[in-house]
Amino acid sequence: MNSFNGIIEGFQVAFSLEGMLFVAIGVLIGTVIGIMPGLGPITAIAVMIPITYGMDATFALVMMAGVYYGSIFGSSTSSILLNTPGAASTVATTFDGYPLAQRGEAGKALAIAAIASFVGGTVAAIFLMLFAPILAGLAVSFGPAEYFALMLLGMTAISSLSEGSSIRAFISAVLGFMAVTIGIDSQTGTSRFTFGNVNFLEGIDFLVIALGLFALAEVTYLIINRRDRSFEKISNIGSIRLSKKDFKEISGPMSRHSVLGFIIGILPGAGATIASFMSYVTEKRLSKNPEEFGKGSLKGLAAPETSTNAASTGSFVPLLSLGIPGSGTTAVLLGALLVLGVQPGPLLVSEEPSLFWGVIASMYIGNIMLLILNLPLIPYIAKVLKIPRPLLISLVLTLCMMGVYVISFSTFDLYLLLFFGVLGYVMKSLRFPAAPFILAFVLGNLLEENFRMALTISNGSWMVFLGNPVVLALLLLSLLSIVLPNLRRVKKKI
Amino acid sequence: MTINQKISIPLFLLAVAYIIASILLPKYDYILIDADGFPLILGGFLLVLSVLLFFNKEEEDARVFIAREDLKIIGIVVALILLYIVFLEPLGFVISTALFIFICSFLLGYRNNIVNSIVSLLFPITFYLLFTRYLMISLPAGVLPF
Amino acid sequence: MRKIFILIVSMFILLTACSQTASTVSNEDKEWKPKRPIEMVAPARAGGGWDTFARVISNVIMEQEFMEQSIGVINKPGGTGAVGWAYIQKIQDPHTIFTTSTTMVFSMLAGNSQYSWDDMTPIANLAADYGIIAVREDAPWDSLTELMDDFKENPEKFTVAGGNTPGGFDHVQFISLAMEAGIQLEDISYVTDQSSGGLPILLNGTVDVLSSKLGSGVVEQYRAGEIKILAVLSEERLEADSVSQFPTAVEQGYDTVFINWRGVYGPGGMTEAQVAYYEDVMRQVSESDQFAAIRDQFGWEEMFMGSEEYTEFIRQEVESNSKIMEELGLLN
Repeated sequence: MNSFNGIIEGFQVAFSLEGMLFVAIGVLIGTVIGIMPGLGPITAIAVMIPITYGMDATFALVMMAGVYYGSIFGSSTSSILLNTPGAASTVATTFDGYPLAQRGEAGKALAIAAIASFVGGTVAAIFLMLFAPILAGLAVSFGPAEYFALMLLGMTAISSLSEGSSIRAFISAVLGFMAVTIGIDSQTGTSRFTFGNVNFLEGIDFLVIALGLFALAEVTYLIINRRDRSFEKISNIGSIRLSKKDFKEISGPMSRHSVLGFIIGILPGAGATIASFMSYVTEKRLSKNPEEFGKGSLKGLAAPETSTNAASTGSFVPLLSLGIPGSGTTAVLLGALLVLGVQPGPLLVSEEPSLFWGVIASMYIGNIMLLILNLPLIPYIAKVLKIPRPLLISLVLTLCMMGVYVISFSTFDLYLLLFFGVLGYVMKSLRFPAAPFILAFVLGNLLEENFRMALTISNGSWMVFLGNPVVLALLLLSLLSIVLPNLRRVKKKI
Repeated sequence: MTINQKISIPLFLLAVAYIIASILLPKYDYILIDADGFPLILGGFLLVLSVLLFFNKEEEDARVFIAREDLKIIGIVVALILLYIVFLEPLGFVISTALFIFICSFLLGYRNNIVNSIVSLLFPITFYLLFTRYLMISLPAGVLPF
Repeated sequence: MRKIFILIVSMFILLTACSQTASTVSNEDKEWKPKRPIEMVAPARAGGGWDTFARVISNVIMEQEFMEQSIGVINKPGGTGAVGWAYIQKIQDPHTIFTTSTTMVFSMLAGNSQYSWDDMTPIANLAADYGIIAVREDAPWDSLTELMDDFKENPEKFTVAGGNTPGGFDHVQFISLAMEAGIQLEDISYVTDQSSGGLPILLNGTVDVLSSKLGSGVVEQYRAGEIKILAVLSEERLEADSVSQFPTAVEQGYDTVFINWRGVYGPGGMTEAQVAYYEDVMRQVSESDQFAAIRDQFGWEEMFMGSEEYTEFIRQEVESNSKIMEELGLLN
């Protein structure tokens, strides 16, 4: 009954005039920052900290939360239109969002992204409200062995991400894994493969690689084909209306990945980026026609979009009810909370019910506002594609470089960006898929770290993996996902 | 030599170099799996995969092909990007970005110089003011006094 | 085509040449005042510890008008600080100062940077928090001594978690205690949980001991009855009501104090007048009510040190920590 009163109190806060105003400001700023390439949730929240100074903590947090999910919502736009992801968590959105826009259906792609984000965010907020008290337990239930098994399950998708040769997909993945070993090793403090260059010590930023391999490689392709007549249909935005059939197609992935994204978001070691990749590969494996993925599949767009937004909402569980930040973004959010004088932890829900429930309740309004804000704007935003091609190419190049520059404020990363752009083009020409590279880069670090942690803790005993039902189940799933597609292939051949 | 064989040789060499670099990593005594554990496995994987690729017959039609004319324009764009990187900090964000957008669009064949000038000025100025004034993210000011 | 290209290149070069005319030759007297806006460098990303610290300090300075010039934060992340320090040393401008903490000492001892702590100028220390050793509430040990005795007897039973890599704060403080307790280094298994600082794997029972800092996360878990804090590595008991009940390691017979100090540094070669100017500003910050409120929110203790005292303090920190790092084979 106690939490019921809290929820009522929360709704009162969220639906007050001030509450709605701060949600609106938050999601508006979040969307604007998110749309800009290279600027993602971390920057969005960091720049808001000084602004919230001295504000009422509840309203400030309501606004910050709006900035957070608003920026994730917004960053899918540039992924879809220009193949330049604004944040790590929307890299998976480019896989099918960009091909869809290239087919002349940019309007539809943006509408699906908006609706999927809305569904993911809203469903996750409902879960948050219904189960918040028990979710804290789930958040700490994962140890290193479980994380390792989960990452391994993600890695087994490599073969399903390849279009042609699987040797090429595996090579691409190994190269991606090698790239993430550059930098200080978390378990020993040893600096690996940095060749004495301090710029490599903290590793290569994921966005540098994603923008290089996808955006720059794509620009090269655009330059070569800049006079191609067939490109004219791309500036065709298409209708933003979805047919009944479209809705039917995306309703499955949206319901699945609201749940999956939310669960992965709750785990403090994972976060929105991993959730989006996991959802993409899961959806592809479930699909009856996986060959459509990567070529503009509606499912392939809806899955990661739903998941990212559900995960970012889910990440409020460890943040608010444990005081544990699970990712770079929530670490910044935790700092922001401390500035506001809020001490997140197990007691927050009982000591500050109106703040705790107010933030959750505000997420409903925030997501509705985002949808209302974004849908009517789509035709205008998509006009970007009508910009004459040579000018658009220059602007995309500038946006990529600006996005990378503001990550580290050094030109070193810009040279790296250029390097990965060239690598991306060469890989594309030689038919090496870039997606396995990216996937291995995203999951590799956690896979290695947790594997080593698990064995250190067990003093080298492998029973840490085999004696635990959750781990065992995840490992079996990984095994199945490698074996089943091959069986199918063998069957087809016979 | 087939294209797959040509690709496999640099990959093989990369694997060998990576393995050697892994072996040379400093040792840390108080851990079960040291920093070189995973790299050695990865290097080994790449070694095996490059050998497999050598004898593989798939995707033989793949190649890096850029027509002479395209090679020239891509070379120029890459050179422009390099210039942009070199001059970004000394010249400042606004000037170098404006020059980059104008020149790059021009060289790619955009001949509406008036629109080009307007865009290449407005774009960096808007972003610069937005970033430095409202988002408190510093971009290189360079020679400009603001 | 080639002509256009040459034209462009020469334009770039010309413009760059123009930008480098205004080199400042300052006339140093006993009084020094900044002539331009101050750059406060955070050698880390937006949102990290050094960044937050830089932002709150410059906020206080701006709002309380402790400086005539404005002050702005810029981020120079990379190399656990090394990129930022290289930037500071390259421009060598007394208008550019930076935030720092204990992490700098560990990063430099690990050989991440070509610079050493005394290549640059310590200006003032402003705040500190302390290391802690924690276990789960249902754990059998009620004091640090009990824990360490059991550890010594059955080292294979134990795993310690922290948020820093080996050779970082959380690791070195535990090693220091363990060495005092007579535990063999090879008996200690330590894991780094970089994303969440080790708290989740302590709570779910994966590890037995948490070596961390006294931040809000730990205090809130203590208040909720989830963990026990066996020792705070401060000289004396802390004063604030919420944390005064935690026993120190010193009172349990261990001579180990681990302070996570946070201060402000300048480039090398600053004049006495410049140091004095900044030291005075930082003293005003430290004494302001606004900063006192911030200290409370972040759970930092007051710990002001002027340049001279600060320099001597860091010298001792480097000395004691480098012994442990050498023992671990991590000194570079």
